[in-house]
Order: sequence, then structure tokens, then C-alpha cells
Amino acid sequence: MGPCLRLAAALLALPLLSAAPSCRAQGQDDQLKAAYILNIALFTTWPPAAAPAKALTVCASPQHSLWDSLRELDGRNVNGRTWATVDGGPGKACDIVVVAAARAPRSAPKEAGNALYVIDGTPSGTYAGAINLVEESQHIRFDVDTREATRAGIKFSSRLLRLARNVT
Amino acid sequence: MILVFRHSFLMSCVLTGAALSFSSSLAHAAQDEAGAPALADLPLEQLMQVQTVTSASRFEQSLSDAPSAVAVLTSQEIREYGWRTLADALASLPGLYVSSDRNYAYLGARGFLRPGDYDSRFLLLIDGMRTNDSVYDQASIGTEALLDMDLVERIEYVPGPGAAVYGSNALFGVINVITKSGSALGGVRAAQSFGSLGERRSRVTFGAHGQDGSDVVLSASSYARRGGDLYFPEFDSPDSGNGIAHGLDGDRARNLFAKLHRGGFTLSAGYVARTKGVPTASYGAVFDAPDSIRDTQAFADLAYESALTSDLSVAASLFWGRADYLGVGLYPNDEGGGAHVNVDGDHAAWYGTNAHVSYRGLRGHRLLAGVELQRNRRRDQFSYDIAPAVSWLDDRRSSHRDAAFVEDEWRVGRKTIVNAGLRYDRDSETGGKFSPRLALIRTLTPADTLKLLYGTAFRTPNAYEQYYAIPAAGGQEANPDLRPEQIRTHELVWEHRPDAYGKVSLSLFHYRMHGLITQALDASTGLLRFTNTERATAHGAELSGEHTFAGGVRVRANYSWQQATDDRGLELVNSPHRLFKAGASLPWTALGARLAGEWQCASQRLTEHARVGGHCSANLVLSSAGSRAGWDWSVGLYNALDRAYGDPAGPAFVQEAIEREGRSVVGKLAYRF
Repeated sequence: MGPCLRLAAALLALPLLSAAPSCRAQGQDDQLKAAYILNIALFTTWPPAAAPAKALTVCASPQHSLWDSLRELDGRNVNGRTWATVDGGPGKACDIVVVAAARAPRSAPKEAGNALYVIDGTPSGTYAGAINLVEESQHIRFDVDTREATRAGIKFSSRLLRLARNVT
Repeated sequence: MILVFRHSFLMSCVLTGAALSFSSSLAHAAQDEAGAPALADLPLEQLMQVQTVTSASRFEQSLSDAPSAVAVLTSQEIREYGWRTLADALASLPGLYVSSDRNYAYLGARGFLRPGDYDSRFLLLIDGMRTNDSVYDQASIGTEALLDMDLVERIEYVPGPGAAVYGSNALFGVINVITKSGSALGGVRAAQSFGSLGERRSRVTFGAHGQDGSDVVLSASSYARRGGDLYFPEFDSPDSGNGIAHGLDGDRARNLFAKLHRGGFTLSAGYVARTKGVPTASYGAVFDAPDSIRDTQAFADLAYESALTSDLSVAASLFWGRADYLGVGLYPNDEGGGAHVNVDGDHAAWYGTNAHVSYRGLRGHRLLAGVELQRNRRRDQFSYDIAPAVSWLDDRRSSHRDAAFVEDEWRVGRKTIVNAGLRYDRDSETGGKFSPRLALIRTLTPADTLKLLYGTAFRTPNAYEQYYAIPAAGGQEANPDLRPEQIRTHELVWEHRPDAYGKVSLSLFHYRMHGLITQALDASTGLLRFTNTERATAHGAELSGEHTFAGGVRVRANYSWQQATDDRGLELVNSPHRLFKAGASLPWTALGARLAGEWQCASQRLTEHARVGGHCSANLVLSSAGSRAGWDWSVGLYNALDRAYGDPAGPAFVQEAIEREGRSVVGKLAYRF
């Protein structure tokens, strides 16, 4: 078999690696991150005026890898409110906004209201949200920015702050 | 001597393909059995103990946007595949291959691995800091490396010329080693390993992290390996112990590392001292004599980073480094029989500063501009005989180099990025040099990226190539007139990242080198000499793929075909046409462990006067799943099939090839307090 044939054979074989089903594998890490966000929501207090609704609205993009995992949590009870994942387009009233670091705005959104911004991944000079989920040596950690939380009128429990990697 | 290995390259490829298929079927089985874990029901404290299936940093969006086919290796793979040196890890990447002459590990890329080159054509960074020394420009990737592999969080390999950002040495690629944080290490850890041929490694590490972001890492480790007897048929005569070098392959090293981070400042420092026996009687030494080499290297780096505004950030650092080499060998006297001891070595010392600013204020642009100043305070080389005392070389030099660079990542619309960079370097020895780079990156679909890359790079001749001179048998001539060697590359890269858990990439490249600095024997004097005489070209293709399946089964494979020739169209020494690597890591739930197998194959290579045959070697490692608390263990079987194979030796060796290690076993136990 000449080099060209071998290359052709390899060309045919290698894409099979990526064509193989991966949704469950991918889901595993995404479910972990979604579980983090759910837990963080349990230890977060929104201002009373901003939380009259029964639903806890979680805004995300359907293109975000966490979308399916966040949707799986729909109907969960979060301190008396019901988790509801929605496609967070412009003008949507959200309690939690989940954004991939690659899609994060450059600075804090002006019309954020009382939304808790959760940035998934290490931002490169962009907005890191009030909660930043990061991966460190194959474990998920979270950083808390209390100034961002205060700006949104949100309070975190001391237990949540104790478990955070960084608190600023 | 021509080493003939019966193992068929093709057969190895077929077997590896079969192994991959088996892994793949296991993966599906695991996927079917794995129930969805009720992660959402776990409290936060328990979620913090759950390991991710894969490391997202391998497939980040930023890698798709990078002006190169960047490859990332993570601490997860280092642990699972049992890589003990940077060389072990890098050898798994497409297009890279490692040779050993039992002194150092040498890295080859895309068909280039030049005799007498101490990895000076790769730039080795630790957390972004240059570590190549100021005499040999050596990138230390073997047991002489600065870092214990257990401290490595991630290795980023950027193939192709990087001179537009980094200047000299970034000819074939840039290796950036990112160390673990104190937060990731979390507390005190101790590890001990034992292996074949008296191998022992001990390590104690301390890591701590404060919620204000301050972070501390301290580590000390030691390594020793007795080595065994080695047989070299070239020396098989009654006068030279029938070709057996008795117990001369010993290796030992001590490493220290510290990193402190607070606010925008990071202070890091490292030290390594490594002594290696030389069993090969290179450079005309007496065979079966206890020759040795000792390399020490130290560095300190104070870096500062700050975002001044949301658009403007600055980074600056002060760095210092030194590296010393000492070789002690027994050499035959020219006349009257007998032998004498020669001491050969160098002192390298350097310091400098660099600063860069990054600006995003112009819509669609990310601008980077920086300056770098380095003074090579010592580039000293010496060589002398003891009894009778003769000084052969006492060369003391210093030099400096300054550089400025700019880079712009320009997003033209939503799907196109133009990345352009230009750097000017001025070296006190060889003058000024511009290095431009241009990359066009086009997003074809959300999963597919096409990159068209043009790059240039240069390497200034190092002090060893220019000034080392020993006017005696087995010695070397100086060549102060050496010019920088240059490379010009064109590359087309297609990357397919369907999700966060896999990718396939294809790269087609064409390299042209001018003034390639090559060591060869000068027939008129019988001495080795470095010259600029060669031009060389290389072209080829690299195909690689990797994927993480459900249940955490990870599979990866890559195939490279490359053709590197000199200006007469002749094949280069130590330049395999084909490389194939594959690896699979599977969970072994019953043991709470993972089993990882790795297969690496290279086709035949030209030596100075003959060839070494193609070879494949396999490693097998069983390791605990890497808990954050308590015990961790692993057992590794290296060259598991006990294949006999060798690497081409340089012109400084009587041997055409130096045989690699046979099968060896290493067991490791670690505890986190």
C-alpha cells in the first residue's frame, strides 16, 4: 500500500471518530455544569420585587452546549419557584442568564435588570458575570463577583461564598 | 551497522486500527450501559468532587480562531498515558517524533531532526516564559527538563513558525507548558514510584489558594535510574569489553519549582540538576569508561498582568536564567597509548524584560504590540584535559538581542479572521531580521474551519555552533561566519469540531529552509563543523482525530506523511516519511481505574551511512481515576511488546543507531493529605 493509499484509508477512517455518537458523553459534563447552576440558584436570593413570578426563568441560547442539560431541569423546585429554561432573546426578562465564555459580552450588560449572569468557561478579557464556571484539572469550579451580584440586587448565601474558588 | 526490524509498519497500522475499532465498540457498550447520573440531586460539595469527562480546554473556540493547528495535551492525558517527560507527551502529537542518544531527548518535526541540534529549533515556554538557554539554545524536554510532569496542567503545541511573535528558535514550533495552580493541587501531595532498572521518583508538592485569588505552588522532586548494561556491536572486540558498556546508563535528577500569585503579579522560579551517564563513547571517548554529563538550569520570572480598561490590557515581565553543562569523559591519548580525562562544558546566563499591550477598542480588531530585551550575560564554553593539563577551549562571550512586534487579529465579517503579525529582531551577533506572518481563517460551518497560513521564521546560530572548537581527533571546528537559518512555510488546515468532545483535522504543508545549519564531518580536517550550506524542503500531510465517548472512553489517532529533502533532492537524515500514533483510554469501573494504551509507529529513517528500520512501540498504563483526595496509583508498561528499535545517531557517534529501551515497568503511588 503506497503512502497515498494509506492516507486515503486514514482519511476515511478518522472522521468516523467524530461521526460516532457523542451526545451522552457531552451531556455528562454539561449535566455537571447545569447541576452547578441549579445548586447556585438554591443559594441565591433575588430581590422580592423582582421575583413575583412562580417561574425561575433561565435564559440561554439553544446553540449553547448546556441548553439540553438546562432544559432537563425544567420543572425543578428552586426555593418555591419552578425552573424554566427559555431561549433568551433580546428583551426577555430573565432570573438567570447562562452564556458561553466565547459569546460573553465585552462588558457588563446595561439592561441586565436583576438577572444573575453565569459565564460558562474562562472569558478572555470579556465579561465574567457574577458567577463564572471554570474548569480546573478536570473539575468544575466557580468564581463569584459580589460587586456584579450587588449591582443586580442579588445576594449569595455564605455557604456558596465559602465554596467558591475566588470571591471578588 | 544497519538495524533491521522485522516488524511491519503496515501490520502495525492494521493492528492499531483493529485496536481502535475494539475501543470504539467498547465505547458504545459503555454508552449503552451508562445511566444518566442524577447530578442535579447532588449537593455542591459533592459536585466539586466529580471529574469532568474531558478537558474543555482541548476544544475551545479560541483554538479554532488561532492562526495555527494548535494541539493541546492535558494533565488528564499525562496521568492516563503515564508520560514521564515532555518528550513522551510531545511524541504523541501529529508530525512530531523523538530520538534519543542516551544523553538527551531530541524532537523532530515534519521530517526535520538535524544531527547536533539540541532542540534549538523549538521554543520552549513555561507559563509563557522562554527557557531556551544562551549557549545551546536548548529546549530541555527529557529528564533534564525543568518541570516534573505532575506539575503540568496543559501543554500547548503550536506547529509551524512562531518567529512573528517569539523571534529566534520558534522555527518548527512553540511548546508552551502551563503549570498547575495551587488551587488545582489543593494541599500537600506526595508521590513515589519504582520501576525497572532501578527507577525511582519521589515528589512532594504543596498547593494553596486564597479566595482573593492568591495562589501558591511549591514542589520538590527527585528521580534516579540505575540503567543496565548495554551492548554495542560496533565496539565488540576483546580490547573494549566485547562491546558491553557496564552500568553506564544511569540517570538522576533533582527538581525544585515555586509559583506565587497575588493580585496581578506572578513570581515563579525553578531549578533542575541532572546527571546522566554516557554509555555510547561518543566524540571518540574510550568505550566502557564512566563518562557523564551534568546539566543544571535555573530560572526566575516576575510577571505582571492587568486589564487597564475593558479594551486595554498590559502584561510585562522580568526574567532571569542560567544553565550550566559539564561533561567529563575519558579519551584515548593521541600518542603512546593510555587515556586522559577531558572536562567540557559551558556557562549560560541571561536576563531581560518584555512587555506587551493588547487593545480591542477598534471594532473587529484585536491588536497586540510588544517589545522584548534580552542580554545573554554569559555564553561561555570551555574544554580542558586533566593530566596532562591542556586547555583546548576557553571561549567567553556575551550578546544581546532586542525585538519589537505587532499583531492584529481582524474579524472581517462574522466568518473570516485575518491574522497578521510582524516582528523585528536585532541580534548583536547576526544583525536585524524581520519575520512576517499572515493567516486567513474562514469559518465554513459552525463546526468547520479552514485556515490558510503563511509564515516565516529564523534561528540565529547558537554559541556552540559558532564558537565551539577542539582541534583534536573527534573534535570540532568553529565557524564564526554562520548566518541565521530561515524557514518559509505555507500550510492549509481544515479543522472539524462537531462538539466540545472531538475533532478531526487535516493539514497540508510546504516548508522551505535556507541556510540550514548542519553539523557534518569536514573531510579535509577530520573535524566536525557546522555550516550554512544546505537548503531543504519538506511537504506533507497530517491527519488527526480524537473523540470522547459516553462513559469517558477517549480515543485518538493521527497519521503523518512527510517528504523532507535537501537541495539535491536527497532524503534527510532521521526523517521518517510516515508516522502513525494512536491511543485509547477506557474506564475500568470495577477497579475504579482507567486503562490506557498507546501505539506509536515511524517508518524507516536514514542514518549517517545506513538506515534504521521502521518500528512500532506500545505502552500500557493502568491508573486510578485521579481522585482529589486520598490514594492515587498507577502501573505502566513501557515498550510493552519489547520491540527492538533504534534512533539514528549523529556524526559524533561510531554507532549508526542507538538502541532504545526495551520493556520496562513502573509503579507509582501518590497520596493527598
